Amino acid sequence: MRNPWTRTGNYKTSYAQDTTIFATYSEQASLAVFLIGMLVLPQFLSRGDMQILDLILIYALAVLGLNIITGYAGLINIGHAAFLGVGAYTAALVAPYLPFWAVLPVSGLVAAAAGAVVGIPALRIKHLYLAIATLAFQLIFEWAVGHSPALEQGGAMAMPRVVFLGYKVGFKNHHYFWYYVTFVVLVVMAFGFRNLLRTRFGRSLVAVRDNDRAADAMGMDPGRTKVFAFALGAFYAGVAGALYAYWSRAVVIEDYSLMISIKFLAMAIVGGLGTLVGSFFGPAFLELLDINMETFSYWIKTIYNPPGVDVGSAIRPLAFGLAIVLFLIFEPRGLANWWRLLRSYFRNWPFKY
Amino acid sequence: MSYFFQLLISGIVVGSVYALAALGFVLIYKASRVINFAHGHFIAIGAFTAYALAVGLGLSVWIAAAFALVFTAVVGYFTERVFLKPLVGQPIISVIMVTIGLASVFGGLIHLTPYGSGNFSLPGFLPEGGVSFAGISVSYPQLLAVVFTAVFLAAFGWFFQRSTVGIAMRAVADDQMASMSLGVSVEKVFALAWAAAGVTAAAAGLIVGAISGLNLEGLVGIGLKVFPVVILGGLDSIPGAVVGGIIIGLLENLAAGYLDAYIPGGGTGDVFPFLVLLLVLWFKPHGLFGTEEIERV
Amino acid sequence: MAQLSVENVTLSFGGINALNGVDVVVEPGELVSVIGPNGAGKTSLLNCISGFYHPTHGRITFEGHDLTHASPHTITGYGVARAFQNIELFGGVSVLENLMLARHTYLKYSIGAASVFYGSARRVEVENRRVVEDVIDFMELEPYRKALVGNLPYGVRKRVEVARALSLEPKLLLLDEPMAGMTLEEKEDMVRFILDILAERGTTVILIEHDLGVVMDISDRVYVLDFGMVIATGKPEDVAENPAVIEAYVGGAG
Repeated sequence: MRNPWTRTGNYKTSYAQDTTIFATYSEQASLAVFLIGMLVLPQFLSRGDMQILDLILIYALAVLGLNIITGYAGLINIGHAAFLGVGAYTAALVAPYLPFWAVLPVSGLVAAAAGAVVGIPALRIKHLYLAIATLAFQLIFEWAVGHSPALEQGGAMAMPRVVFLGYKVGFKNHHYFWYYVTFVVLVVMAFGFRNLLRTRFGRSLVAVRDNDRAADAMGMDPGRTKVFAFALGAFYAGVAGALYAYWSRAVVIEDYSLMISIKFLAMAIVGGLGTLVGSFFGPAFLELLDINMETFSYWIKTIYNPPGVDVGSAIRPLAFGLAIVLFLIFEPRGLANWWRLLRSYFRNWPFKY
Repeated sequence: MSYFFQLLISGIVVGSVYALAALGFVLIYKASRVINFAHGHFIAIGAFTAYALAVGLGLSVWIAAAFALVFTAVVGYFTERVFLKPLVGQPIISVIMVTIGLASVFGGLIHLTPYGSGNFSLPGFLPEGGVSFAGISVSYPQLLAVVFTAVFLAAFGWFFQRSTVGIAMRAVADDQMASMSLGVSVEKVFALAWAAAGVTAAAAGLIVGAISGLNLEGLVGIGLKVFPVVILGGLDSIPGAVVGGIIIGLLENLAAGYLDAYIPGGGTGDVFPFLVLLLVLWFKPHGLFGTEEIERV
Repeated sequence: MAQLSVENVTLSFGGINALNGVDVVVEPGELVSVIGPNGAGKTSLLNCISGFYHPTHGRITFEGHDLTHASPHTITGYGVARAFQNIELFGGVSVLENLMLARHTYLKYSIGAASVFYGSARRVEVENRRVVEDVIDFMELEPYRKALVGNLPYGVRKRVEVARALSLEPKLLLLDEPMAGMTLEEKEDMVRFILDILAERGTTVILIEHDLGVVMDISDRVYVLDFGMVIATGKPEDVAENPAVIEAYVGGAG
């Protein structure tokens, strides 16, 4: 009996049908519910909550870019924050002359160009060596910004206030406005990448990750594919960087430092490397953890607060580091694995697996 | 000309710190193919342990230093046992990330002590002044740093060449399977490599304490400078770590000495090693002494 | 003119010659086997043809293209496909995706079309899926279509390796010990597949195989390599009689 609501009752009769992403009615329905839920969510949240939610969504876009490079193409990137930085500084430089919806793609493209440059060593080196090269690029980026008078030597560069369709974005609606912009951009770009994954572009990324010699024998140039992976991932990062610049109202080098690159890697791992949903889970988990640890450290201060010790700057990295280590040891496939188990339970219902 | 020689000397001094730091880093890589991002934190743990014992408890600096070496070795040993062992056979990224996570944990723990921020200096335990000839002066701490490094490296070299444990470690680095079949405990060797790395890291931290002040950020920064050193020397080469350390120390000082004047804001020494790193990766990825990996189809 | 010609090829690694003045000529539609003891240079020869190694001396041409210094992906583009000896599949994806990866160069659509998966992207994907399904059918891999390659048994992975090379729709197929480590039954299947490839697809095949029974039964011509040199060549029955071959295989008195 055909039952389009579950996978067990869903027959595919053409190859085109077999390429669909959300195959059953129930999957399509839950997607619709989720999207609508996200659209009405701001109605129920305070400005403070919105600020955090915005940050999570912007980081989700950044981590999606990192997942393209590191998760799908298998190229360890310790310099992802620098790609956001390139996007953010581009935004700071062009925002006075362009509307924001034009700034975002411009930032993405400039970052993609930077990504292609960083990817060039991938033509000659692999694995660890490549990871160390990206680390060097990150440090060189920070140094270069710190020595550029045009970029305020890394100090604050203010972002202009945005007017959209006659609607002035000010103090009160700032986080709400950027929530919707980020949400739309994120949904479009996430679907874009999901589509790429079922074409030769996405498959070639996985091919160079799994076996780049075999990829060569399949007729694709592994070097070019890796450069493409860096450029594509950096494009996502660049757009995220521009959004971050608008969201934080200013561009400062600390927001694009090595620490942030490490944070993105941690988010990708905790979420689940090489998974789309992981790009959302990772930032949400680690940002919420960070906020809770801030509160927690206030509590700690009431029992342990010797002179010369800043408990806040101890507890947060401690929790962050522990989260990484514990996930790697106990759930190396990240939160996405829990999601996968949950989903396959519902999808194969009424069968167990 | 004496300016040049002065730069040369401080370059060699800084370079010996890098050499010591890189030595431990290479030991770990050679034995277990792990890149240790927490190496700078090992250096900090060694230095601050000595400081706490010398200043806090008022012990003699020499005893404090000896204790710091042992303590950091223990930290290294347990790091491997507890955190790295469960990840044997996992992809490189997991192993890299676990050391990054540990770096963050160690950083947090150090921040729970008063040494998280601010500058500290070990009590002077050497006579003031130094030797000078032809207008070039070398302070006693600088002299000590170089001599200490040389002695330390010689001892390590001897250990590797002669002792049973050293030979087992070299065997494991060469071929894990073959060593295992000969009855070498690979697990033990991994843990020992980490302990040895702890000792050398602490030694590097102590030398920093002898020649300048201690602060967390600076010590952790040495852990990053190790990367250009080991890439230049070759990731799996112990002589490479020493030669690379000295060369990077020299280049850094010469770059700072001659180029800072032309660059607004200066700080050339901080970025120069990483430019060298990229050039080495492009033209000679396995460095001066590293072994090339051959891929077979 | 020959389809593939390997002329006087020498390949040295640090002074040791893996191949030493090797000449090989293959005509369209032939099944040519390369045999020889371990370390004779059989895989090195395939590596030179498919571009993973470049000869130190000599020249390799395929249908007028010079392969001597070309990279593997360029050579694949000329119509030369290869199944590896030590299975080199993409372990993290399904059988279907492994085969679709072999269609990479046939999938001509822009990144724009791909990112919305509409129009040309969708159409071309479906067309090529059909080609891949033919190969799946041909190699009898239907039950494993959606299975992760990393989880499949050895014999099946070997078959996927050949199926993937076939999905490239090559003019020349290089098979490096496709039957090594297989059970008798699996071997018989593989021989049947190879004969079908020749008969139905008209693909030229170069086969490296240790099982002399199989080689002598199905080959049109045989090359025997020893210490990097061709010591005999000809029809299977002639080669089997050749004293030099018997010497290499059985070992001389000295």
